[in-house]
Amino acid sequence: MEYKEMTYKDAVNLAMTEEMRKDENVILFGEDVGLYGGAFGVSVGMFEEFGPERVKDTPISEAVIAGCAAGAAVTGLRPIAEIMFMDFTTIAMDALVNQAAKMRYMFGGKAQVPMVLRTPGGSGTGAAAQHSQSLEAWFCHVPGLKVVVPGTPADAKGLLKAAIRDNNPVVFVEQKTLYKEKGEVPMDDEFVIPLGKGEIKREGSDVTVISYGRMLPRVLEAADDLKKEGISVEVVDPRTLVPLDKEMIIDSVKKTGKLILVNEACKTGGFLGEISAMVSESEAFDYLDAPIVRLAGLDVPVPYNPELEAAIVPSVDQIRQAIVDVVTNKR
Amino acid sequence: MATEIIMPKAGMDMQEGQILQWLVAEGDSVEEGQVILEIMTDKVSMEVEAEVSGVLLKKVYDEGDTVPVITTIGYIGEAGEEIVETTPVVAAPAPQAALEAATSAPAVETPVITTTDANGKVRATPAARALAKEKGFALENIPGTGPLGRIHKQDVQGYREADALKVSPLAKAIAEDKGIDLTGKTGTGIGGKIMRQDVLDMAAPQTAAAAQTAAEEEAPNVVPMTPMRKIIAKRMTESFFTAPTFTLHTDIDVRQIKAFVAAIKEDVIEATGFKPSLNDMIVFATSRALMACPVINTSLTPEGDAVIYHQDAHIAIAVATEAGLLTPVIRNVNQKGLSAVVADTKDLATRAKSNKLLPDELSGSTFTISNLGMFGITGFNPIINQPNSAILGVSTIKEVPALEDGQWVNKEMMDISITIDHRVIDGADGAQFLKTLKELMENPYRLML
Repeated sequence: MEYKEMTYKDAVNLAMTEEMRKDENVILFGEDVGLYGGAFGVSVGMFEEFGPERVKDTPISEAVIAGCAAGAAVTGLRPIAEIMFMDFTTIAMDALVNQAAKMRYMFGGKAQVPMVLRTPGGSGTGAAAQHSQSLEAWFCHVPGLKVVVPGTPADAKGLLKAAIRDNNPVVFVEQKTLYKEKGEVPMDDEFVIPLGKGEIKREGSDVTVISYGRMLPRVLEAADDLKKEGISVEVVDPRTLVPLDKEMIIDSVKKTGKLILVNEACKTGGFLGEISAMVSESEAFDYLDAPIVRLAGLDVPVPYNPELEAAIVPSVDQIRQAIVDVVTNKR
Repeated sequence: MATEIIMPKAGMDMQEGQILQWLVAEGDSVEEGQVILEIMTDKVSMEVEAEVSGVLLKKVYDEGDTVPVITTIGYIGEAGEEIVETTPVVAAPAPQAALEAATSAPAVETPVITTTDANGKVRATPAARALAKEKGFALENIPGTGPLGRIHKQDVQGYREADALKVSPLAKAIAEDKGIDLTGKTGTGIGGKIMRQDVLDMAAPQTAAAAQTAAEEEAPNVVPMTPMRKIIAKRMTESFFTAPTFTLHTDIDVRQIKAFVAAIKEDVIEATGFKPSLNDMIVFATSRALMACPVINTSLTPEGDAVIYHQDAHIAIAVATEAGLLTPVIRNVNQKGLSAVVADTKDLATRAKSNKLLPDELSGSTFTISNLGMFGITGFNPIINQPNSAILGVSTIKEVPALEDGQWVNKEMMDISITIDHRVIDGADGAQFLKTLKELMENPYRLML
């Protein structure tokens, strides 16, 4: 397979472009996605290639964006709707949660809603409390929605293509601070990563660390550091939170007996708690040899002050220390 | 302060010993030099004497337990004296330098003996609980090394079974065999240790109920290997798979030598108190044949690049005992007269059967003789007793008709075989040895030469 080094952002662009070339029903719309190329430049060049009919700017109304997406999807298109900041999905909630997520079920399968709601989450850009949240847990709580959070450029491409081809509404959470991160991306236009299939990013035996999205590179850095110290860390990236690759997680915990969960979102009510509870309920319980540890964002609005903003999410040092503590039975 | 009784290290090879029998009970007075227990090493049983006079305060291990050498197995002291236990010591998990470097924790936590919390619950991880249950350990007894004494899986793994199980190995084996769950059970041994009889008592009611079905599906009787059986297995496997061997057979007409034994019988009895046997003659004749064929009386060096030619013939004789095969060694047979050989052979064989041999009497052979004639075996290929280079196999005597000077006579023929290590000995050497031995046995007067 041919690979090319590209940014996370370009991988998202490539996935959309490939799918739009393949299927004329795939369209993209959102605030400034057209001529401007998107607030983060994700859709640069697409307006030029596909024209104003298929790459559309919308009014500044997330309710309209999500409503149009649900309506277009149920009437036969495969819309990709971009919400400029994940924080703004609050405005899109009715269309997404009460309409898109419910229709296939309520019409007995006669309607389907093949839409993707793309939106960048996370802090780290100095965008303050209303433009920095990680709200994926909300969507995971709604049956009928799928939730994807890619942590690498290759995963971003493969998962977005799967999301576009899926006949259900998919919330596709991109990571603002990862947009410029580079990685090897397969150029095959049939490179599709099935939703619900996690990946073991590092094989290890002493502890399982589950992470996704922005924290994944930090976890990998800590794991690679500690490997030199003789600690073998297994890093599991579920990649999609709904559906969740429970089997991979349970098998890994059974192997290592220890579990650390890392994400950026606030700890309270977050998805890490869901994974933790799932493991405790599973056959992996008897294999647990340490308390399950969550490293998550602090339960505060994201501060504007850059020092404070950095301090509220797990750092590489904190992750490394937590791993050492758990592996040496100190926690 | 109480004096420890330790599991002695009776030989260089000895790693562990089994307690066969305590000869005194807790609370009994013992005299210095009094035999207080019997132990079993790889090959032999031994008596352990009290090193001081006093009272046997405590037996740390029970009959049937196998413990490493130099382990404290009991205490002698003043009546009523407190024992300062030197065991069990559960070592703190070895802190890897790397982990220490990576952690900012100021000091390694010392192991904390777990006590139950205010609600009487033990702090332990699910994995530790599962493992403890599987092994039949009581969590309360296991020192936890985690925060607040939490027991982790590693603590359970590091816990010594002998301390934790509170079940004697024999009782455990019986329980497994009979499918009895010992979890939560206590027995009549020290500290509630479950002993063989306890398990048999537990089994009794079930046995009656299960008798009918048991008749239909008899479970296989799985018996753990004794230390001696393990050693035999190890040595035989090593010998069989390292030495390229083959076996030569011939048969010996034993009429002359039997007549010879009959002729000297009374003299030997008078000298030794024992009746000479054909086997004694074989040992005696073999020593002479070995001197005539030095390449047979050899050992390969451990490096396998040189051959040791032994000056004297130290002949091991294979003795079947209830516990297994023993090979006591008769030393310097080549220098001994027949009476001495008879006396030594009888002495060693008798003590072998009653398990009273000393470790030194079981090692240092240069050649081995295995005799299965008493079982009517007509021929066999023995396995070399390393580091010997060869072993002699002696079979039964068969009467065969033969023509001698035109007359039909009964010859009494005995098969003897020699298995040789071809790394050291060639076929012609082995054949020459058998020929020499055959001529000596068939013409006993030559033994005088």
